[in-house]
Amino acid sequence: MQPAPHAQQSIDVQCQDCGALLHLAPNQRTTTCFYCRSPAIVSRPGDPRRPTPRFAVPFVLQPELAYARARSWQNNLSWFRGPELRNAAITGLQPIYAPCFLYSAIARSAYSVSIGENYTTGSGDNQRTHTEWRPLHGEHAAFVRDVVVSASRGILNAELECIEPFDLRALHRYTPALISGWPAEEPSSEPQMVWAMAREEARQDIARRLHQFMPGDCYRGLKHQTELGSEALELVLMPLWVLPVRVAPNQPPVRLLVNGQTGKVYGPARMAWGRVILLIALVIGGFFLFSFLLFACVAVIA
Amino acid sequence: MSHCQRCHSPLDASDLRCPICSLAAPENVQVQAGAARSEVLRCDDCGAAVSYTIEHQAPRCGFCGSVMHVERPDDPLEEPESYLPFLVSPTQAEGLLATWLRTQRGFFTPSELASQARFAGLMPIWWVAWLSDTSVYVTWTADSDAGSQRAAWAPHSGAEQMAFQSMLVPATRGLTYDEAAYLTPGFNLHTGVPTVPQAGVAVERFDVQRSVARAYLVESIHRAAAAQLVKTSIPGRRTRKVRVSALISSMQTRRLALPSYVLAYRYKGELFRAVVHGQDARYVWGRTPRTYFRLYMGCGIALLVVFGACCFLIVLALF
Repeated sequence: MQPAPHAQQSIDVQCQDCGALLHLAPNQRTTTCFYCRSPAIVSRPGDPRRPTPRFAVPFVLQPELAYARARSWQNNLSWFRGPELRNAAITGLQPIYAPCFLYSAIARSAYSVSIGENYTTGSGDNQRTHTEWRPLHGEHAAFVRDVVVSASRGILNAELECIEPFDLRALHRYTPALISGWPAEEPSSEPQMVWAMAREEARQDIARRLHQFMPGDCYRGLKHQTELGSEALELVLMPLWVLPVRVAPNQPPVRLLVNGQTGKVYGPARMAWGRVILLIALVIGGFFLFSFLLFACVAVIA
Repeated sequence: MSHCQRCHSPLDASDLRCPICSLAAPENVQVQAGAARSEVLRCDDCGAAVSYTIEHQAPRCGFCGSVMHVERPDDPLEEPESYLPFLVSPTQAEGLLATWLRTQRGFFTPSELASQARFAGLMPIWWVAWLSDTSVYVTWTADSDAGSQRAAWAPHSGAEQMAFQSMLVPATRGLTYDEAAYLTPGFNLHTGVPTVPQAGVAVERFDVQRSVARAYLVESIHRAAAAQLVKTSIPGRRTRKVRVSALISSMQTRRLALPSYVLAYRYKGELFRAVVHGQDARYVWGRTPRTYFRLYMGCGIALLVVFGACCFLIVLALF
């Protein structure tokens, strides 16, 4: 299946309740009529480059709980993260069904590695442990499952990774009933980019598994080449709560994301390097002061 | 029944994705033609527009309060689909217990067990298991003593195709794993019938949902593959750190109810359990009481001998 690209234009659709004309951005799947508040789901003409969602994970987290999670995350920010985000007011929670792709494949890897096997020589206090290095070549085959990549230009894949995992056992077959009345976005990322991100995540997953696959007491120089076959991408709508937080009047708002299923929170809390440097300076200064006082005491006593 | 297009495992009608490889189950996607249009989801009762609500996990009408039903992920509890009949009668089972008690010999087993044991009850049960036919492409690594040099271990790797035919994976909680594993070779798996063939016999429930059962089966196949590799493929006499990665294909699974008798007997007031196979009289498994009298006697005699020898040596040294 080809993920959707986005060179489409906004469209006008008629509200089925009051007949008002609704204007939709190209990346919107749902809307609510301004006049009669009727929730509408938009059906666009068939386009192989704009797939219909196959699955959806419905919202589980109530808005009050999403606020509470976001505030708890904010309160737990360390002193090194700077005061802007910690002191910012959290309001304006927005739900969104974010378009994501669920990637799966068969991964076949060929690897070569040096395996270290430990042995000991001597006895008692003279006992020493040595490592004997042996070359090993082989193959590894496994299914890659449940790789979730963002298909939205608005939500970066790196941000999405920070609020994963989603519990895919709660995956529902997509039906308009699941998103009726809730904002849902159409996929907007470039197909090549989605495939590249999915394959990159799959390769990282295989690399992690290969590390656990190695025998011996230790290993070094692991090299592997992975081929991904029987690949599949399925469009799935994931529930997110989005909170734009304005940290300063003259700065653009930053965005907190809350997983609409598990409540995991992510926010771009920047590191306050000034505070880090201040703390290091205090520690070093304190050390010198203590050394000086100690030296002075010793000198006086002597 | 449809099959997964990637791993060829059968899919249930309610499966959204293949439980083995996660590929989406095939479905007919109807592509809409014509211009874009808006759809409004309406209440079946009053016709008002409805929205999805988190509280009900379904669309709910704001006017009349009725809740629309949406298709939910179907993950039912497993149920046996085939029952193997009892071929051993309760009377035979009692007799088999008595014979088994007579044959129990061991240093810690009381010699008067057969004469002192009193029969305390018998319960026929159908315990549950999965029967799986699976083809697996296994890649593995392991340490073994074959080819070792200065270190005691040397690394090995390999890949091979394996087939597990009629692999019985116990799902019972009533019997221990050892009991179930001991009884499984004796069942005639071709005698199964789809309905309970005998009234009044307890049928154990699977007690797990389908998704959990499949994950357990996949784990069992990994364990079975590792065990088979140790026996047949990994060189050397000793092995460690056997790592297996399996590409499972065509996994067919049946849920069976297997007949057995759980018998209880008393020995000097204490209750013990034995399990008699419901189809093959050769399989009886149980726990026997232990006597430590012989052990204490043996230790006492050994101590006396050592003490006597020491005394003898001391006397010899003195005179």
